[in-house]
Amino acid sequence: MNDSGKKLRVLIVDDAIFMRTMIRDILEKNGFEIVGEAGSGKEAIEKFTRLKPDLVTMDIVMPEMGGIEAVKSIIKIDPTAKILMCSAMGQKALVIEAIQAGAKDFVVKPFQPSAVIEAITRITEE
Amino acid sequence: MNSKGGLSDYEKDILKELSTIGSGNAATSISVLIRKTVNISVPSLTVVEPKKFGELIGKESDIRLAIFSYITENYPSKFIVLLSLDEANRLSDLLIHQKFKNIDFNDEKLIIFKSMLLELGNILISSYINAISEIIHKTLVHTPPQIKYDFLESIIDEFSIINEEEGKEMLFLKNEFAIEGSQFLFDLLFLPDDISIRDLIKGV
Repeated sequence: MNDSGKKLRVLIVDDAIFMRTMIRDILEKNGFEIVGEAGSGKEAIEKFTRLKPDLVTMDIVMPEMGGIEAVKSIIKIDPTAKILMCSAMGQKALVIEAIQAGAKDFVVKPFQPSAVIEAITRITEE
Repeated sequence: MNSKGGLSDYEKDILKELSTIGSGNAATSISVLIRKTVNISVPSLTVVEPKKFGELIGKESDIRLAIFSYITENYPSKFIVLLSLDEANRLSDLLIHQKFKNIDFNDEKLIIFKSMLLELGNILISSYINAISEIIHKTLVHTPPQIKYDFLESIIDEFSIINEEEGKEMLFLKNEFAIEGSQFLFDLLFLPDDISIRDLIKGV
C-alpha cells in the first residue's frame, strides 16, 4: 500500500513473458497492482512515462535496450523513481553499475517470492 | 588434446573449479525456479577442438533444442545449451505443466513454452558466465538468448562449430541433474571467438 492506502502500482520489465508472468503472480498475491508489462528497455521508458508506476522491476539482458540503460533514462525523467533490478546476471560489477545508475536494489533471478517482496518493501519504505 | 600439447594439471583444476561452480549455480537456480531439491553429479568436462566435437555429441541426425547467447565484450564467445525435447518437456511439465510433441515456435500455443525455455537457458548460461566472471575477475554480459530446434548437424553448421580454425578449443560440459528421482541431462558448449580456453584462464 502507498501513503494514501492504495495498492502500489508496479511496472514489470523483462523480455521473457514466462518471467513476467511469474513476477506478476508473486506481486498480485501480495497485494500489488500490476499497471503494465514491458519486454525491452525502450518499451519500459515509454510505459514508465505513460503509466507513472510507484515501482519498476527491471531485467538487465533484454533486446533493443538493456535494463541498466533504461534505468538511467527513467532516472533522468524522474529522479525519485523506485526501480528494483531482477536479473540472472549477479556479477558484482553489474550490481554496482545498476545501483549507480539509480536502481534501489538488486535481486538475482531466479528468486524466492519472499526475496522480491522483502526488496520491494525495503525500497518503498525508504 | 589441443595444438599446444594439452592442458597442465593446474589449468585442468581451474576448469574443473569453473564447471563445478557453474553447475552448482545452475542447480541452485533450477531448484529455486521449480521449488524442489535438485541434486547434481560432477559435470563431465572436455576441452575439445571444434572439428572433433561431432564425435562427442551424438548422431548428427538427432534433434535438439539449442538455446544460445553471445558474449560480445571483453571475451567475445558463444554459449550453447543443448537439450532433447524430452528433457525440455519434463522441465516444462514441472514449471508450467505443458508438454508438446511437435515444435513450431511460430505457433502461438507455444509462446509460454518457448519463453520458459529461453528463460531457463538464460539462467543456465548466466550461471556459467557468472562463474567464469568470478574466476577471471572480468564483467561478462551476454545477449538475450535465442532458440533453435533442429537436427544436430544443422545446429553444428549454424554455429560453424566444425569450421573453426585449427588449434581452437571449446569447453564441452555434460551436466546431469536429479529432481525427485528423475534424471535430467543437458550439454553446454562454450566457444570463445578470439582466444583459447588456456588464454582465458591465464593469470588466474
